Amino acid sequence: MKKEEVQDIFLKILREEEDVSAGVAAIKTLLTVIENYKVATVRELDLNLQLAVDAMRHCDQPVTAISSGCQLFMRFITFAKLDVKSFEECEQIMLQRGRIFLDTLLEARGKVAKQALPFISDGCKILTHSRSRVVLQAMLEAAKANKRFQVFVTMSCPDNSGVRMHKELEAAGIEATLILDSAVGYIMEQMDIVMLGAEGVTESGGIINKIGTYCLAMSALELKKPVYVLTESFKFSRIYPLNQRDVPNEFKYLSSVLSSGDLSKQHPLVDYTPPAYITLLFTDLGILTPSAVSDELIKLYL
Amino acid sequence: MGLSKENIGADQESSCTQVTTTIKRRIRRKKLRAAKFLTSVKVNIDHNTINVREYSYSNTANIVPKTQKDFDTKINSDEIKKTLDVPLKNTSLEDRIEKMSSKQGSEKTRDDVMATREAKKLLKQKAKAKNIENKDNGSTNIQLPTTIRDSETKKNISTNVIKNPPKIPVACDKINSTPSITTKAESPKSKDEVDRAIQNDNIDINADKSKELIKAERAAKKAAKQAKKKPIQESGDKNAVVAQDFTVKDVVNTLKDIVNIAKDVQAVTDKVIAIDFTTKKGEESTKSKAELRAERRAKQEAQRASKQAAQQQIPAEVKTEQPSKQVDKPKEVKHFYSKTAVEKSKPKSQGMQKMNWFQHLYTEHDKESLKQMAINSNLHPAVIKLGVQLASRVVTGSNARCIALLDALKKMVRDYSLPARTEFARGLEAQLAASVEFLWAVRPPAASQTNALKYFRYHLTQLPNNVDEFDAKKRLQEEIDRYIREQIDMAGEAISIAVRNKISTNDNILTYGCSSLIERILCEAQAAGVVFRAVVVGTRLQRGAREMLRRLLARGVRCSYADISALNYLMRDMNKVLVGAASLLANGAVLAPAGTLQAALAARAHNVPLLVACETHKFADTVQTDAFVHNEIGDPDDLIDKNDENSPLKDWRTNPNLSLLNLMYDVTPPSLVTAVVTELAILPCTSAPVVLRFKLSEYGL
Repeated sequence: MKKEEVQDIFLKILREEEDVSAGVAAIKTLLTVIENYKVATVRELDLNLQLAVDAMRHCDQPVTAISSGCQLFMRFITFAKLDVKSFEECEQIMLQRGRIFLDTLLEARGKVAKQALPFISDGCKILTHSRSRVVLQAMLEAAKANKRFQVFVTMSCPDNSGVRMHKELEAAGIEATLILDSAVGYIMEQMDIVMLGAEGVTESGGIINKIGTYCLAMSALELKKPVYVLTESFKFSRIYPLNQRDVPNEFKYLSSVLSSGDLSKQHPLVDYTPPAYITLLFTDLGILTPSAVSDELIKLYL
Repeated sequence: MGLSKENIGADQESSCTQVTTTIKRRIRRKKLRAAKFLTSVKVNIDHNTINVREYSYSNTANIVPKTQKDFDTKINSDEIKKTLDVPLKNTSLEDRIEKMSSKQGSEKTRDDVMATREAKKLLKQKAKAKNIENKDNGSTNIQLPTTIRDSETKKNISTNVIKNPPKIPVACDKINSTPSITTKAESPKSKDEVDRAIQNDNIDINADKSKELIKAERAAKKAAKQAKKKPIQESGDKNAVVAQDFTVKDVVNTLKDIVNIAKDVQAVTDKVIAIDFTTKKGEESTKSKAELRAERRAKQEAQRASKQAAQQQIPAEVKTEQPSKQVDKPKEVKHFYSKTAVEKSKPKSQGMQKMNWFQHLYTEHDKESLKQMAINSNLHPAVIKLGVQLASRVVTGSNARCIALLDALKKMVRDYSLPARTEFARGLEAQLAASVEFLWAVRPPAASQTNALKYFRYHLTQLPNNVDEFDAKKRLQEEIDRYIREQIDMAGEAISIAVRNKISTNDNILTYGCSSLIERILCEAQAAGVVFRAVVVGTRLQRGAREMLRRLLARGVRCSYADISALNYLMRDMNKVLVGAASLLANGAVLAPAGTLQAALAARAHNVPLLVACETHKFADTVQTDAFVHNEIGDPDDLIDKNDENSPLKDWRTNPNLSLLNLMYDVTPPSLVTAVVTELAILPCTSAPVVLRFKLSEYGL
């Protein structure tokens, strides 16, 4: 199995399937790896998967979700009773579990969106940052439920993904306004709630998200607005950043940038929002407070 | 007798001689009788007190002129404490009396006794229900003080008299010279002097009253002897009841009593010191006194409890508030009144003033517990050794104490000989309970020790019923070894690696106080080649911080030392703060050596992340939000700077307005802690209950 092959599969999935997040794509890739590349022992399989994950990390895609998703996937599939006679059976079991994992994952988004529904009240103004598929789905659900609300979306440089979000919201008939990143402080007093997605959830209960999130969360705390984070549970990661600098570099920069060496002039893509600024996390495991994230993680991993 | 006569001024001799001798004889007899009374005290107390009271008032009148001097002297609270310390039992009281007599001749003894008796009478006055009768008696005698006040001249004469007699060396060094002189003055003077003084007053007043006065004296002596067994609060009470008219005199009397009792007590203390087997500072003598006094007081309080009318206390307190005529001595007496009014039957450890909010934390001093250990107790010598080490703070630190405890338990298990027809688990459990009780009395346990003990007990109960002794012992010892290996050693290693991953290159790490785990982390990081700089912050009291600094330097860690006052100055340049913990509480709060909260606050103020390194065996399922509700009081004398000879704290015991409080631990709330590093994971503080739950399921505790 070669690195490039894995990367090809991965990028193909991303290209072809609409609206699939990097994390989901990564897990699909891993499943494909198990299916296609036959091995003789569990250990070899494990090695294969490790290689695959490593390959995907160097794809210039956001690494956070990939890393956490893959770790959880591997943990999940090996958690089964594998003391069966033949390796093929083993493999089949793992594959089966992998598929279950993926299915659960795909449903996760819907679950989260449904949980967030009661928190969007009629006439409320929601501030959101950049483009998050989960938040988008939650808003679409709310619109379907005939709720009237206004959404303010930040443009979120450098990739202007907020613009795309705005377009999608307008297309769904939701009243949306595009604002500058720097206008967050100005607009915050008019808002009712803040809804954010997350690329990763840390063990401390904080989130790693598109750059600018930290600032937004800080001003929300200052103006006493609740901050709700909508995320699937496979994004829970075991990292524990102590501050912004402590976030691993591979999360902050694209792999191509990392390999170039000098990072001092580079701009990070993500930032870390400590748990103190987050009110609630909506996950497919339930609505959690930031301190409960660690509890869930321990349950998942230990 | 003769000696005293010579010492006394000649002017008083002639008129008084006749009366004096008879009085003397009577008084001598009384004294002997009183001594006999003492052996069967309890029965006779009431009887004596009645007598005392009758005599007391007249006596107070008599005593005033003699002790005029006392007003001028400031008596140390030390003295007073000594005198108020009435630690000796009945038998020892008799010894004391004998000693007194042997020391300085019969005259002195008698005078002493009379004076003490007077004091005691005062002390006891208020206490009994018969105070009512007292008042009745008192009313009749109220005229006396006024008459005595009139006789200013008498006072002057007596003071002159007092100045003359030579000083008689007294065992008690600490008594102020002047009061001792006055008491000595009393002692060399025979009954003659006292009688003469009395007579002077009597002559002025009334022949009838003189007889009353004599009776009063006798009663006073009895009372003094009685009062010797009772704590001073009685004197306060007595004073209080009589206070309206008698404040000055009472004070004077009590002063005299105190001085006398102080002498007695000192003599006994010397004896106690001689037999004392722990070799620490002389404070231990006071401790033994306090101990004995505590015993006596407990006894007496039990007796008195029912009799003591509540209303007596209130007027006592009210009256003691009258400051007008009162001098230093009354202030000190008042101090003790208010304390006793709280009705604490706990011993005053070393007689020190207790802080208001920390009264529940004071326990008998560890060394006293050591002494209380019975000589024929069958505690394993390793346990006793550990007790001494804990009490003298040779073994400090959560991990060290835990390992030391387990070590001692291992030895105990190894040497345990199973008595016949006893199940191994039961028998060992009994001995374990006794050992643990001793150890906890010496020093309250740390969370690590309680958890280790729980673990040990669990495995002890898991032993099958019919287990072979050898197997059982082997298994227990193995379990102990495993606990130390897994929970302390390997956990430490895991934590060390986890923290090492968090240390970036050229980090400035601040650590507070002393922790074996932190030391390990820093040394191993240095050995692994991580480039960082450490700053150790400590206080004057903590030897541990400086010791850790020494060890880090020896291992090549780049480190510096700063005092806690420099925290804010340093914090600006720090990247991380790393501290150890004594235990982690269920609400996520960190119990750590005092000063850690300070470091946490400074870190928060400068946005520096705080990491707490704590193995999971230190997690406790108690909850604490502040450091008041549960803490440990350390030795207050540690607060005194040894290098400073003129330290203002030096004589804190004698100063009623000063108490020293040395708290050992403080509680850091979870909001100030960024992360807790355990061997399981790096967790937020709020996940402490999760870990506890996890441990419960894994280790079956």
